[in-house]
Amino acid sequence: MPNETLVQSKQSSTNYYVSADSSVSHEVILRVRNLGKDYGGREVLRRISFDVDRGQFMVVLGPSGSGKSTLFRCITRLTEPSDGTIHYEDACVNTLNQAELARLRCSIGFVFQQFNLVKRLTALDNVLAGCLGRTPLWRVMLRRFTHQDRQMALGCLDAVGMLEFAYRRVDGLSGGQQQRVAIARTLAQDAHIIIADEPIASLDPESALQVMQILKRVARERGITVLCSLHQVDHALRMADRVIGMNDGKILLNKPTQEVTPDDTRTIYMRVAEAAD
Amino acid sequence: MKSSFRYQEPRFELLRRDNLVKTLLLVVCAAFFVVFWRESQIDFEKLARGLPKIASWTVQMFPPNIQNINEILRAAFETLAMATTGTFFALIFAVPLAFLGARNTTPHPVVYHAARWILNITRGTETLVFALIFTAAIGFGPFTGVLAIAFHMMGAIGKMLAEVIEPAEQGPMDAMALTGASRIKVLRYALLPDVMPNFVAVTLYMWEFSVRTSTILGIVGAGGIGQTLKNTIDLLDFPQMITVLAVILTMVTLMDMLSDALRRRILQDRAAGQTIAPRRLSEEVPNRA
Repeated sequence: MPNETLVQSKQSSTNYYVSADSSVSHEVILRVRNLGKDYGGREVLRRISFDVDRGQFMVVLGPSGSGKSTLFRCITRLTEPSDGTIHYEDACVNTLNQAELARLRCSIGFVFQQFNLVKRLTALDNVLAGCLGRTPLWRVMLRRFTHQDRQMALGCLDAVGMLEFAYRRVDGLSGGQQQRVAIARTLAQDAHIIIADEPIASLDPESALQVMQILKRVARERGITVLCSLHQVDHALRMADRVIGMNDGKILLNKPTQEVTPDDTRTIYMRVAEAAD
Repeated sequence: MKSSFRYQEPRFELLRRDNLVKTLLLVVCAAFFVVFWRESQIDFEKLARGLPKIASWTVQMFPPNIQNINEILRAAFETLAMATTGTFFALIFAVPLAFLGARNTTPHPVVYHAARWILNITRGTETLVFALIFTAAIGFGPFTGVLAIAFHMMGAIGKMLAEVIEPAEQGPMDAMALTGASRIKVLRYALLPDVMPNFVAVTLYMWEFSVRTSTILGIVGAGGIGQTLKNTIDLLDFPQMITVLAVILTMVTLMDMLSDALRRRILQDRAAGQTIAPRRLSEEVPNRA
């Protein structure tokens, strides 16, 4: 059974590669409709709707507290939405039971602001964690992965330029290096979409740029869809195919990057300034 | 620099509510202490009368009798064996109980309370009490001591391990769960490596503790050097007694030092200085296939 899913996902990922490369199809991978979330009367998400196309690099801009993290948590059902529907690939995420949800999560890679690596394990072990979902329990218990999985994981580390750190414990790596390992983990997962929640918010500017460039490159090479929240407008404009601007639980802006005008970004900034007051 | 401003601070008022509460608390504590003092029948005169006896015994201890040293060392070894196997059995049951009895890893609140209850009861019952029970049930001998240690230590180790598990970082566990890994895989892969150094340190500490405890278990017939000690006390054989005490002290001190050094090393938790990196083969050997 695990082998079967492995083969399946391998095949399908090749297909995505082709479709993303030809960039003619506009298949929707993620469809969010009227998504709402309130915490005890406080509305964090106000019935928002948007689509993400397969292979797209989508950036969500917005100040802290605008609802970006809640949105991402709702998409993966780490948080239960109060309202609305989420469709991911062929599944309606809202109605899945725990087992189905686990299977669905196998193909969603998550990158966190705080990296969330297992500090005492090596970079390679952390990348191999991406295979946990499809690895038999006894192999996980003994931490004995197949030769094939190890080769694949090394390939993922190579893809983010971290091959030489494979056997180093991650608590000895810099923030930027740790985030690259975290990206490699999503690659090992063979994720169809990478959801990155403020991936560079705790990095210095140089590492931040490097991490964004690597994310952009591996996503393009492998046809992976990216949904990434950021604070920095310049990064957003440089990396994104499409930009969503959020504030106060609402979407203020949803445009292809080339159509985003200085006025638009000013609006986001103004709103940011207002929110800060 | 001298400030030209003057400031008024609030005056201390005994009758203000919080000050009154503090004063009252102090009075209550003092009253309890007086009651406890009387209950304990403190009598320093009695102590003064007894001290010369101890002094004379101490003198009688010299020169120490080391004729039976082989027998004493053998008893010490039995004590060490008892403590170690007892801790081993305790650990086997303590680890699962710790996971069930830690808030962040328990499968269900009912299981949590049940596990905590077992841990508290076994931990709350002293090893010596277990030793008395097992001597009555299965008779004298070191195995009785092993069981006594295993039961008490199961609770003691389990509780400490649960306390190591509870503050563990949640982030990596969330990240693993989001890869679609099951709960048990998450615990194995994200939690266990994180808590491992503390697990080992706790076990070492408890092992050392067991060795100290098992030196007296022989007094109630549960094997080990305690039996030898009790015999010398019963016979008022002071030269022999000091030899036994010296052996106990030496063993316990060595154990302390060993366990301490090991724990310090483990808790330092330095990453192994491995600098080897994997090599990309296809670049060096382009036409391998």
